Amino acid sequence: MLRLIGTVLLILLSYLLQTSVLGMLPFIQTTPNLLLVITFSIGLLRGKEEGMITGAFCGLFLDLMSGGYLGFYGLIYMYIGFMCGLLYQHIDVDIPLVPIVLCFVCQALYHFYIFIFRFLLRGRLGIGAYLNNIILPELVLTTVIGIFLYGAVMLLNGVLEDYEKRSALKFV
Amino acid sequence: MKRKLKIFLKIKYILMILTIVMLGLVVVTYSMGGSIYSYKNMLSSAISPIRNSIQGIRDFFTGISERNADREELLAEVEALQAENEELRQQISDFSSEKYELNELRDLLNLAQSYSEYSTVGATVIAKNTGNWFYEFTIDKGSEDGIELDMNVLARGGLAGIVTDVGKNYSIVTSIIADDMNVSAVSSTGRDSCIVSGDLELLDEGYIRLMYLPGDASVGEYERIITSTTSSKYLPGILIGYAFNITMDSNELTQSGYLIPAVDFAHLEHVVVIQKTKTSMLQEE
Repeated sequence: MLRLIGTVLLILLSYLLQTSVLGMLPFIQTTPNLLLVITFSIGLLRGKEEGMITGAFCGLFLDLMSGGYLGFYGLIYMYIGFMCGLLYQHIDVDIPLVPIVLCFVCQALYHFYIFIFRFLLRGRLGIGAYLNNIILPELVLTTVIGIFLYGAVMLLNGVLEDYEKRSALKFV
Repeated sequence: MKRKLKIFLKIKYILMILTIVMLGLVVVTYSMGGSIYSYKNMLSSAISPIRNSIQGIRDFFTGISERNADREELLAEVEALQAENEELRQQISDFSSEKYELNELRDLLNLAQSYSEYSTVGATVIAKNTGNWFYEFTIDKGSEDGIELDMNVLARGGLAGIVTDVGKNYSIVTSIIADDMNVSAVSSTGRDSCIVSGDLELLDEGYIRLMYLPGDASVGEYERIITSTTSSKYLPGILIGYAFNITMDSNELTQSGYLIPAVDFAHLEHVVVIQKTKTSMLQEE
């Protein structure tokens, strides 16, 4: 229960930070994608079930808050959460290179998805310009902020796991 | 082993069901267009006050930093502003006589009123939406303040965008520089019709595309381009930007070029919404 509330609050806070604070800073032209970081962090730390559900929740939340088609972001976030969940317990989550590489891969997937379905299908082919103007700045900024956010999610996860263990012991 | 396989199959099914549900939602929202926006209202209306308070906090901090600015600097600024004020006052008196004349002539010609006479409401930009691919932003006024779908949004006298989603206390505006936006426009002197189209590829250089200008039209460099009367969503006569580098297309029938938007989209903070939609205007007539 505490975990559910914690995760929802985390998503809400990151969303507000992403759109209302970081998105509005005059000296940063790009917005980091914090919800994607949360999705892959939870997938990596908690497995494919939770990754999938968190991703679907984040994506649908974004869909609800924007003017686009409902379910469009939901799909890609859900699959990213699921795929990162496949790595659960297969790799060491404490190595700092892991979140950096994963953040990079997830961002690439996400942008590729948007490019194909919202641009390529309309006959817009300028991938070079998009790469320069949109994808790369967002990728770099998200990776930089993502390392810290990943650390925060890991800390929160540790606290919650301790709490769950203690309450399980009490129950016995 | 068997149990593990079972769990794996189970999550696969859930994934499949969720995928089908989301694809279904995409299809439903695509086919219904803008008519089912009300379902979003509850969630977004709850978020909006938090956003407003974040905006308030930001204003507070900018206020502090401004208050601590150098005194000398401020005095110089006051002087400059006073001079400007004097100049503007002079201009107003010039303009008011010209406006009187303009109204007289308009009455004679029986022309529709210019957009400056529509009732407007000011709004503050409180969030930039979902990622960097789509140029949408959220403003702090909604249906409670009389904002409706398809109302035009201006900033500093130029067309900034159009309202694409309305909630109780917020609305989402899609700007004209978004990649899938098209505005039908005319040149201000020759009244040659053309299409202004957002293009993400050019955005970094600070301009967007201008297309389908008739081959025989002559549009001067940096001529004002305004919204056309034939547009179904945009009110006529609003400044969009300035055309430049117009060249003949290879088909020898149309011309195309670029347009510098009148609005500075990188630093958008306050906007004005015209409280009249094109459809309601047409119905009145």
